[in-house]
Amino acid sequence: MSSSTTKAGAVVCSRCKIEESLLVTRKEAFCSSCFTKFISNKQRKLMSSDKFKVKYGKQVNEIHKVLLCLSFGRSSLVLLDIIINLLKEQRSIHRGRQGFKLVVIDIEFKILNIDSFLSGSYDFERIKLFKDFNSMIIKDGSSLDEKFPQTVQELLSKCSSNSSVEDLLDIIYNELYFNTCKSEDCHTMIFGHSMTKLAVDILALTIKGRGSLVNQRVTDGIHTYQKYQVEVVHPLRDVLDSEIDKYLDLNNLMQFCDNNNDTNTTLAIKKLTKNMTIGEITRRYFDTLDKDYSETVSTVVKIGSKLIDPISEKNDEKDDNNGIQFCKICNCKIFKNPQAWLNRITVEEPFPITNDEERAAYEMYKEAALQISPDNLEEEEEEEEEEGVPQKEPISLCYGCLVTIGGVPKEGLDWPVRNQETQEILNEYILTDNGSDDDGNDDDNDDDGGN
Amino acid sequence: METESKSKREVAREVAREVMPSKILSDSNLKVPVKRPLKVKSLCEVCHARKAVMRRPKNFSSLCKECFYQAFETEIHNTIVGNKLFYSGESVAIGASGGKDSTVLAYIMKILNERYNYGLNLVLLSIDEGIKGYRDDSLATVKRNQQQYEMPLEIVSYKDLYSWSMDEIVASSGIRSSCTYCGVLRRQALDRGAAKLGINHVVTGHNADDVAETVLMNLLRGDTARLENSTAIMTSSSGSPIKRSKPFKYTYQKEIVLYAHYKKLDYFSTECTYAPEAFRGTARQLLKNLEAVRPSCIIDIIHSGENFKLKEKRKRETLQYKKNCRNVQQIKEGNNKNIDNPIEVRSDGSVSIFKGEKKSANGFVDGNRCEKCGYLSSNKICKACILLQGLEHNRAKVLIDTDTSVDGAAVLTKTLEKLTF
Repeated sequence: MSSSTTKAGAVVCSRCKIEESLLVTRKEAFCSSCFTKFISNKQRKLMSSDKFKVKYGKQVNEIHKVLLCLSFGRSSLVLLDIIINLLKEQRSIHRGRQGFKLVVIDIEFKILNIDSFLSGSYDFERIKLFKDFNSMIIKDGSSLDEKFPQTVQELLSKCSSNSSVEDLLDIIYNELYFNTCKSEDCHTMIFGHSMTKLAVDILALTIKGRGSLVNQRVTDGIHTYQKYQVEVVHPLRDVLDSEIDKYLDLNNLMQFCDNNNDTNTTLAIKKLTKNMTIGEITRRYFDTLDKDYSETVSTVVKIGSKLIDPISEKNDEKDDNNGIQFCKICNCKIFKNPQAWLNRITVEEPFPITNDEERAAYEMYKEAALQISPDNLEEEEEEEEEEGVPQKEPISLCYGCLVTIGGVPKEGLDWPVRNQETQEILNEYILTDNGSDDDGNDDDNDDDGGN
Repeated sequence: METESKSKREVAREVAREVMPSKILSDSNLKVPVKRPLKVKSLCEVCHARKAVMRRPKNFSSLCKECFYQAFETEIHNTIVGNKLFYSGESVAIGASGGKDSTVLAYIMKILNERYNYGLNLVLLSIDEGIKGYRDDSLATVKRNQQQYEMPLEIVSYKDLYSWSMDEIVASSGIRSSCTYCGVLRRQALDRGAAKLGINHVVTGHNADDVAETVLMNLLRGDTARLENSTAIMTSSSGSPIKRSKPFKYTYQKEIVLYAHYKKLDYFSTECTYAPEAFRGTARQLLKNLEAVRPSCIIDIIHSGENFKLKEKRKRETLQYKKNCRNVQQIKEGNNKNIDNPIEVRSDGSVSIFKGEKKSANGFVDGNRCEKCGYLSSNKICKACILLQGLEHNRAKVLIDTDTSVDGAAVLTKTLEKLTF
């Protein structure tokens, strides 16, 4: 690479060789316009298929709709700017025609209120996690409607840890994006994720125990949401965070940036580690990595995009649902039974009582527990209190949700569960039939636990 | 006031003595003068019969010692049985460094072997890296363990195997790459030690934290060859008779520390004096921060790691016409003998002997051997040989007799500790 200088001594842009360069990235000097073009080209490369191009002739009316998920964070703003410029350019060159129709979704602020997640075709169910990692829907007789949280904020306020809030919010956003995509009839959905953001996501998903989701969240391609096919593209997947910042600077876009959504270094440093979420910690990790390891971000994204769905465990025990089950909270595929996995590595059996002293203490505990609240013994003495216990229905949760819900206090989490479509209702009935078997087994387990 | 309250307590104690059976008195009442209703709360959450003495790092439940021991031991037993790590009558070498993990491992293996009749023949296997002031002390611990647990002990030293001690390596190549050398050499040394004893199975004290760290490291380094298998509890290769396993795969490091503490096990707790690998250090710090936020993250990462599956690598085959061209050229040159399996002559004049190994989809050759030492290697020459070659290249031609300059930082620390003014 040769870098020439102007008469004044400033470095000349290595692309146009005319303008004075303003920045150096990837060992190359850029002027403002060449840099903007360089970043825009990254988007064009990933959205180069014919469906984004201006159409003539027979195809004129086949306008493709693209959903842009805007968070007013840095990278999604850059993407919006690039796409708008692309559309402007298409209109000026092709006399008012454009290749696709852009739909912008911004949750919480303009188009969609985040609470819209709670309305719509959902039923609320109370999901509770048990000691033996069984998750159940609780249907107690009391009027649940009163207890239902009115807003997502209230729903999330039940979570004990920030990481659980972050995780559930992530699920809600994702659900809303896809839902809107379907209702707006968009066939492509684009995210503004930069390379750094993708790397953070890959690592954070791994840490949350959602390793099997990495492939689905991070790679581009066709995704199916409720039998609706959407192509997901991350057009800025080759752009680093530092380049996003420079683009914002050069194009005066900083002013539109939503500071609340800002996850840059300063925010990370301000907070105590204990109060941070898993996502924030991972973000800070990448921010603080030494320059010696600058290639780590692209390495992680590269290996993340090489991942595929794991081979699912064979369901020898009970063939509940022909084939793969889906998580009732995040709606992802469950490849391995998380309960069985956890139970295999956890032992909760007590050491037998060896002497009178211990027996006396145990009797005392039983008495005290019954006096304070009969519910306390619920788990141990299931049979005795069968009638008092609210009706339970086993449901399947993925490992990640199991962990997230584990952070929610005792009474469980109210979560909207999708209404089943007619055909699925049938499956649902079959599932509940088998479910009674499940119930029996669970009671056995509980007994073991109680001793 | 004080005297009054004291006397009250004494009265209460006397009353208690009359009412309570003598056993309880002698045990708990004198030590912990807690009122009855409070005691219910302080009972173990699992058995509800004994006083809870600790909080389990895994799920934060308060447990009594007995329940903790039971959970800890049974979980490891379940891991061993569930994964069929051993067969009856097998000889197993325990990789023992004298640190907490391997000491607990030796202890646990011994008691589980006796309790559940595994029928194993256990041997301690130690590696002497040759770090003065560090390894010699920890080896002393291993020697004590040998007597405590009544197991045979075998020590293999770097100096004997490679004619280099770690102190000499660090003196020659600097402290920064110390862990690279040590790690590569130790792996081989363990196998050779086991082979020397005629044992085909080495168990190591790698715990859940180590496995989680490895998963993160493989992600961060983009190591496609290792990512899928980074959580494997047992590693074996078709080419090597020696397999390795990690019975502590699901065991938290903190629980191992607690177990060693309560069982009063004799272990050596000094960190290695040579700097840990810098990049691994960052991953370790990340894991620590995460654990503070969500203690289960270690198991969560292992769960993710078990679910990683990589795309099959597309085979890049040489196009037929290119092959034809090459063959034609060779025939023209009059050497048409070895067209299909050519022998490579390397720059140092050596000639490749092993060939025709089947490559797997990832380009990783299972059972391939180093052409120099015959040890298992994914490349033509194993990493240890490459490292040693580099070291030999830089070895001083002349040595000073009774030279102590190669002694590492550990010796210096030791000397400083003994200084008095």
